[in-house]
Amino acid sequence: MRRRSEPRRLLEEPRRFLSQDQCEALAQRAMRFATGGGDTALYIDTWWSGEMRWGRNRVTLGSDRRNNQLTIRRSIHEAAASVRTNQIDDVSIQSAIQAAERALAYHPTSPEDIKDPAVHFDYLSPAIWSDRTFALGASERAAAARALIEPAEQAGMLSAGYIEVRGAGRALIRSNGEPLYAPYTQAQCSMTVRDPQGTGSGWAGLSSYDWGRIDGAALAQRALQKCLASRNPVGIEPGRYTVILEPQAVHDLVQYVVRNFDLRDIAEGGVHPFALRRDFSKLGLKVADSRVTISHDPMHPDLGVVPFTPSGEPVRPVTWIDHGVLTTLAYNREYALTKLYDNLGYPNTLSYQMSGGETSVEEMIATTKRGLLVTRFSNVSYVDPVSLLLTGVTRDGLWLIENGKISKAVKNLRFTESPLFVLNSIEQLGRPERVFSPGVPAIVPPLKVKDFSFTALIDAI
Amino acid sequence: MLGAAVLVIAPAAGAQTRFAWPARPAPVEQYGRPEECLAAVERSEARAVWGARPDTLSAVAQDRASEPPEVIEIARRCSAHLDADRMPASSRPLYLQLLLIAGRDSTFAAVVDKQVAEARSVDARSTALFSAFDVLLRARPVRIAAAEQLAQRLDALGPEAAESRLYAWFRLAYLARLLGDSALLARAAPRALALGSRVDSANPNLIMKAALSTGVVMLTPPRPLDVLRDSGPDAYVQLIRRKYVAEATKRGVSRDTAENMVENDLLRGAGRPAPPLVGDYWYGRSDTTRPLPARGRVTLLAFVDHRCRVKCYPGYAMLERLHRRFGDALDIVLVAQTFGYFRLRPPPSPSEEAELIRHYFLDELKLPGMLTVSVTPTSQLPAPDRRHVYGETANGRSYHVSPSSTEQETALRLVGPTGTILYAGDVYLQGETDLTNLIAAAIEYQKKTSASSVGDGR
Repeated sequence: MRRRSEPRRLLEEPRRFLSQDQCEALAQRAMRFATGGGDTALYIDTWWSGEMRWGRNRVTLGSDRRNNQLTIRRSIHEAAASVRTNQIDDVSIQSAIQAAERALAYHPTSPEDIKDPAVHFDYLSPAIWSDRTFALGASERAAAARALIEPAEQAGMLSAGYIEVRGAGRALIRSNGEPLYAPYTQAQCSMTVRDPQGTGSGWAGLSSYDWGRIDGAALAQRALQKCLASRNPVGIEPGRYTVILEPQAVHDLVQYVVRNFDLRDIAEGGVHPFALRRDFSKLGLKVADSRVTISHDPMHPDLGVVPFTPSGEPVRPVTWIDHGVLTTLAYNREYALTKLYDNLGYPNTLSYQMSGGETSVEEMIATTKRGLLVTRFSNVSYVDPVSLLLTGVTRDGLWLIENGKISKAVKNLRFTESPLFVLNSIEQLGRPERVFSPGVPAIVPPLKVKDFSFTALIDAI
Repeated sequence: MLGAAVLVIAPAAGAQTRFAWPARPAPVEQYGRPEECLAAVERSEARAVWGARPDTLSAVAQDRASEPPEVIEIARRCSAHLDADRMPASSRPLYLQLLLIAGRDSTFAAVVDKQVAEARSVDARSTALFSAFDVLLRARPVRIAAAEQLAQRLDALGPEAAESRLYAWFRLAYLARLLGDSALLARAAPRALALGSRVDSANPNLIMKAALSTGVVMLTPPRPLDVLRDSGPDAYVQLIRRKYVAEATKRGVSRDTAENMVENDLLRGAGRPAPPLVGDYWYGRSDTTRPLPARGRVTLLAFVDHRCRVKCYPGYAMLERLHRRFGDALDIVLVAQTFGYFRLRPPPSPSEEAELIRHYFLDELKLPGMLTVSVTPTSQLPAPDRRHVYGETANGRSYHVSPSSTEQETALRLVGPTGTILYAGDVYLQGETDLTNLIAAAIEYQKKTSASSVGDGR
């Protein structure tokens, strides 16, 4: 499959990553080394990456890298073991297969490893390849970096940033199934602008499969403006504040909710953010504000992902939370067959879209008597994984809003809050937009949330 | 000078790359006391491998091993130069112990004789003999004949040594029961009972009196499998029920709790009449009119589960061994149920799944016996949950077997010829011998009763 969608540029030599034919030939070579019967599966991630990194307005790194990551999985008689290598010569592959076969003896059996007749699935063909991304060579990347640096330099500020474009192929080739292959591209651009005195910092970033959908000039202006506006912050008391979370800040929190859509059988085990009690999840119950819908459609032009999982299951559209009600938790095909008498699971690709409203950030500010405007969060980590209580710090721009206007820049604050609380404390929603989330695209709205808990003042800029 | 030092050190550093036991043996010839010799024995690598010396009579009875050669060698070398005359009296029992480990039984006897001869009172002679008697009973292997001779020598000391004699004969009787030595039991038990009845009431040994008051029961307890062979399944189940309740109450558990524990945890339905099996599909069964488990037959019900896969293979191998051992004398019935899926195939219909189950157990695994498959009643939770939930099958309900347990391990029920459940448990390899003996006894009882009924018919 996927041959029809193989991009024209891939056919040109020299290849920067393995084509479908090369992956299949590699798999044929590898399978010859398998001994003891059973099945062999090769999961191949083959990629080229071109990057450009700068700091203090000077380029510090420009590189082209390529690699092949080969995961060989051997399964014999219901037990399976896998070995990962990036060496694809015969000797290395043979030793990797032998290592997997040795490890088999120590692995528990799993129903997933039972040999079954090959199952055919219909896979989607999402938009995940961009010739423009793949064509962005070193000189173009250098020019793009220069264009990003210039506004900050002219304003007397210091900028640091990173541009990366990637062309890759992902293949799953099994001895008992049809070969799968999907070429895809990724592009990301992010930059931080700081004033030389170290009193202000602004950030902007965006990612997409298509470099053409990233407006570098807008990002540079945005980061610069945030830096200028955030200079000389004042300290305020931590506590519960009404906050206006820009889309990136919302994503920094909500991605933890999305990660926890894995897995339904764990939720039914009783210790999980979406566990109701032993044997029952919160499926069908309201877990968020009625205006919140979290879903993923791989065919959305901005939400494309590789259309199959490492185990070969197809990715399909899913609605996790529908108007605040939890409607789906991820499960694999084994769960589908044994518990639901269905043939297909719902894998969680972590890519998602969150519904929004029509309120602009400016309107949110105008309707806020006293609150904070948050650019993004950093260093977010779990305090309690069961209640999804998180902690982290604000970063690259935090402002106090008083009487409908931004009054002053404030020093960063540490928050201790659960995104589930955030999703239940929404006052206003803005228009969803793409955010910086390399590899797992997300579309998220800005939110105005009440009673968000900040627990400490952070002196660092 | 420095260069010379390096040259000397280098080989020693290389030699330490591989660990090895010290080549030089312990200098046991230089040890002057039996305590040191016994400590060397305990330290020896062989002792660590073979385990500690048994210190109770029940451990003695279970420990049939001889001393390992390395231990004998150490004891022999260490005891060779020791002299009983030059050691304090408190070390002499240890010296006797060392002599038995070394296998120097004749020296042991000579030392004991000398101690007895040198004793100035009956009490001292009694102490010397009983001390030696005790060492003989804890030796590896246990020296019963020599111990019995010492008990007889104690008898010769008369009423003044009554307590030592009582202890000695009682211990011999107890050990004889543990070892199953009926000849020794026949000699020792009457002596112990006779001596026990003459214990001076002014100086009663309460424990001994209590033991001897129930001595007949203690010394000749009924064996469950003998009861099964002779009196049948009902008496057998009653016996093991009484036995386990008694053991639990001895541990301080109240009688009601003990009975509940036995009923729910241990017996799990054993002792009750076995309900007839029902099934929607039968395979390998020619006569479908005759109910199963059949009266007059010993039947092993194996609640198998196709989801269990390789975890259950050891149990399947055990079924195969039981079939080879007992052949047609044992009916094996595989009891299975549907789950709405088979492996990772899309959900089949019940009849398709039953056929897949038949193919798996009878064709692929080639398990012995008949197979019955029950269609499991299921219900579906409302959307968005949509899970299918299993109900109970008739067989699972009547034999207290749940699908969650069979998914992990095959459940077994042994039904005796009178239709009583004799055993309810899981497959566990350590218990295969017990289960095999139980089946053998049940079959023996069945053959005996069928022969007598044929005789009656004549």
